Amino acid sequence: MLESDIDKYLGQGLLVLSIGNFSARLQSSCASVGVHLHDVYRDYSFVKFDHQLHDQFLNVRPPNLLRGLIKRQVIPDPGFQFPAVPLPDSMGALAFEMGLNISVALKTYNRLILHAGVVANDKGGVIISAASGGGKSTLTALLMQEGFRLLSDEFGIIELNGHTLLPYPRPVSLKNASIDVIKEVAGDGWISAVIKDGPKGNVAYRRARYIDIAHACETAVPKLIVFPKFEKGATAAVNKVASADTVMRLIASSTNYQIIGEDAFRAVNHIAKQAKAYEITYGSSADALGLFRAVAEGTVL
Amino acid sequence: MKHSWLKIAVGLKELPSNSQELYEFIEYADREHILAQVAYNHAMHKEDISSIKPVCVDTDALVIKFDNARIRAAYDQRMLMFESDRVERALAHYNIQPTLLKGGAYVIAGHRAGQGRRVSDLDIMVTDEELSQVEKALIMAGWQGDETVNNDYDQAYYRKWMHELPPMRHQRRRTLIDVHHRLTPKTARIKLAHEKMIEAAVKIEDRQIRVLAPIDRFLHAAYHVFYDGKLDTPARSLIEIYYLFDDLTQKEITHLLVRAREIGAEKPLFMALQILAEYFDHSKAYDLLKAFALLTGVQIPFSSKVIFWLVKTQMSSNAFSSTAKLFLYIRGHWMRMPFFMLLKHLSMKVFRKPTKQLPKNFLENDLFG
Repeated sequence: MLESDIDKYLGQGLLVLSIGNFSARLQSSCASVGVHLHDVYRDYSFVKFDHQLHDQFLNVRPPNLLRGLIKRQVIPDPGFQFPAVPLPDSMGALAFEMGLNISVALKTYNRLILHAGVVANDKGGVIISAASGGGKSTLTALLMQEGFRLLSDEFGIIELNGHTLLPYPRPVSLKNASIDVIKEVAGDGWISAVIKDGPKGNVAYRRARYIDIAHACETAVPKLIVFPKFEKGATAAVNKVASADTVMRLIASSTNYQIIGEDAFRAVNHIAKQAKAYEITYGSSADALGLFRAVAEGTVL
Repeated sequence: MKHSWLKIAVGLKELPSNSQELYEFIEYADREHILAQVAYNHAMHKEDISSIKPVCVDTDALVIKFDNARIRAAYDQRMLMFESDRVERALAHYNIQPTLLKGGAYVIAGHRAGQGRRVSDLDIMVTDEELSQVEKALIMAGWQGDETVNNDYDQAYYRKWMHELPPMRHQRRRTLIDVHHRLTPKTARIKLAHEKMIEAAVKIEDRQIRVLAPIDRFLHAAYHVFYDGKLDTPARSLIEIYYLFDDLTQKEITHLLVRAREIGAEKPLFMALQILAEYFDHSKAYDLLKAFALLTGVQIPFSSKVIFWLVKTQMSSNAFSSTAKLFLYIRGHWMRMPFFMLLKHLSMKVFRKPTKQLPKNFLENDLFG
């Protein structure tokens, strides 16, 4: 779709973005959202809305009339009540990514959603599960340089029958120091402009590659689960995580486990049994990759 | 909303066959929280959908919408089953049998009004004498006044004027319970005879729990829709009335008017019958309205015709629907309390500081990267 058409349909709320098995209807009057789509989403497939049913809806809009005119602000409006913190108008990209994440996390029930980064190669998938600031996105982006394709940097989406990982490749969100780390390995051309001083500091997006987007319908069998722990100055260390412990950790990271119930319980147990799980502690990206390679070799990835 | 959509929702009509109307209907059903009920009425399996839908409709997308809605609603049913079990356990020692109301009752009784119904809390009713014991027992079992109403004004307001305790939230499970001791606020202009309804309540086999008798359940739902000021998701309330009415036996239907008079629900009954005739073409509702018109001494009150027209206007989403909605909201409050009390209450609500509630731990969940 032409950039001018994207802008036009975005303004009218008639823009549909398809990523793998998911589609979202988008609307925004905010210029920085359009810029974000032209840049970071340039390789994705957009169509004009024609009453096709979609999975998500997102409107990035001013929180009220006044904030649409002076000291302009935006909030993500996913079409259901959600209390979002207003951001400056220039941070439309943040509101967009945040809003789409909320919508996926809170409106998907037919698949188990884990809060995790996921990459895969032809031998299987890797689930990278960490709390905020644990280095999930950074490790995901690093592995993209190691011959893995991106499934997602936010969501481990698991089919309830078959228990395979469903790709949802969106841009990888990099924060603060990790922006330069990834810029160095991926090259300047793959990283968006830095959004400075957001709620969590500086943010930039590492674009998904054509190969990630093109394979967005190919599921992966989870073979390895990594719980990364980034600590400044830490000595590199690997710990095997027992299957029962893995189950509990994955449940804690899920946004919809309670709602799905029994099928989610089965899925988590299946995955914990089938994949090997390790906690890796590191203080540098070189250590992270070294440890990852060691555990990946053990699981024949 | 299109006039035929409520019929589609309860399965009296097929899903729209053109993609634009289907899209609008599905969005409407989702907004009104009735999508799971639609899903149960229209397709249990993927094959069912592909066989009845024309090719222009993306059946996979429809299956996913339905699955999502059904799974979400199934969680609500489990929550209600579990919570009612916990309430039963908390009260067992005191030999108190609470009466479940609304969604909780439909689910426990296995009524189809409960299938796919979205609910946010459990409603129970106990007698005035049991009330303080029930509150203590629930607090012992982990419930506490919900944070949103844990202020002096709300606590005092509920206890002095309302028909229920301030909502209580279980401190570990975060589930909500409303404990009623009557069905209508103490100040309401139309009062239901809750003692008579509790007396007629039916015990659930092997449980220490009761539900209202079928006629009372229907009349209470009718009251709730038109006289409680809560018409936020009208479709959900109206299809509830349809299910409850449609499942009444002929004997119960014959007894409806007598019972409505006994418990003071005559106006809600007329309102409900008009809705059932208008939106569901329900032949028994037409028959009853006709029969009542012939009976001497039964006159359909003019006010209920006006309200009916307002409800229709709100539902039709035309230029006047938001005005109608505002009017119904004010009227809802008007029906609840005398004028000066209303003035005081609304001014309290307007001027106090709003507190924004974020889901617990949600911000730390890093979905915002």
